[in-house]
Amino acid sequence: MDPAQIEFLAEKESISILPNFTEDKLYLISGEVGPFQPQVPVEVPLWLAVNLKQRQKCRIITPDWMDVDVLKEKKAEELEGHLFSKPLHPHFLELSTIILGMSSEVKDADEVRTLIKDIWDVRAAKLRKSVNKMINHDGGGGKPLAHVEINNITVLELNTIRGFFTASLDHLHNLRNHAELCLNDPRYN
Amino acid sequence: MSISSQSLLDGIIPEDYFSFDSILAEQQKIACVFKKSMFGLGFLDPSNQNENLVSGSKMELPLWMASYLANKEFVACELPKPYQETSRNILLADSSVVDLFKQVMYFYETGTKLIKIPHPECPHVSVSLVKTFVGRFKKIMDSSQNCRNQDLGNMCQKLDVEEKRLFEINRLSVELLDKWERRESNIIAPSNLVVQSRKRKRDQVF
Repeated sequence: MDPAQIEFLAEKESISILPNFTEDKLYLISGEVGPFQPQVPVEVPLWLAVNLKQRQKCRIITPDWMDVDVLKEKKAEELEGHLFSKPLHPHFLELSTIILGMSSEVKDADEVRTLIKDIWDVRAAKLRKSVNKMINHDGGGGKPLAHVEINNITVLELNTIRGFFTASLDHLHNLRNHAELCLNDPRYN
Repeated sequence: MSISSQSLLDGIIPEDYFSFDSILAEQQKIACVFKKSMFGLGFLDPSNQNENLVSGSKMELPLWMASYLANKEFVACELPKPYQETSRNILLADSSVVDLFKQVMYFYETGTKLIKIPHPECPHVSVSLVKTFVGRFKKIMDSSQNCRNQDLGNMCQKLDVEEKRLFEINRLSVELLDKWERRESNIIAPSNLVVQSRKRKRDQVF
């Protein structure tokens, strides 16, 4: 999948905005949105927020987790354990990229951007490490691992490794099958 | 690359019959010694003046032919050098530095096909193939993740064809992510055909 497609999916996530116009409820396929009243916070899908913001019809309320203190805490937690911690938001990189790219109202935008990138990098390193561990694993007697459990991984992270990982596992599986075939071949025993 | 031909030819021809990779992998030369004299085949060996190929003559035959003759007990085969014990020990020591592409282009595919010539060391070869790939995996992953266009050739020179394919898959997904982060993936670009076209555009007509 293309990261742009994942961004498209992420735009379905809802976010709070402060509109500066009056409008009745909007009836969308995914549900009702509104009603809109000036300076009254309302939850809308991100794509709608982006559209309204571009037409200067609203202010975006920065999500709670896009805050320096929260992010610092998360980064420390992420650095501590060797497992994935629960991400701040299942689409944290997509959302922050869209919001930071559009709104100038985020507090400490630069620091937020750096921290999110840091968290992403720590998680990417963990992902690479665990993939390598799985390929290299030898569960006794040459038996490969039957399954692994990876929790708390986001769609975008999974997507960076999926094609390569599955193709590598396929290749390894073929080689292992062949080795087993050879070892059990009566001609060689 | 294989053509789906399940219904018609199921069981008659092997699954990889139409695969180019498979055909190329079977080109690997195998050193053979003829156990029997072959009548009228002297021309196969240029150094041979005789009309017939006498028993005991040595020749290098491609894998697809060697396997057939070996199974009919016409020839005795040796393993190609990259699969012999010395080379296997090198791979076992550190497989990530070996230039597989130079040794055998289709290292894994050819390696698995060696089972067709009944050689007592085949099981060792098959186990060494698994270990080789596992040993090289980290390097393939890391180098493809951190490579930008300029030093591509340098990095994947030593990889065999299948490894190059894996390398390319990973490099592409990293590139797509990079592009997205630079916010370039949502810009709609004209197709190359249009850019290169020599026809006058509508706005250039007058």
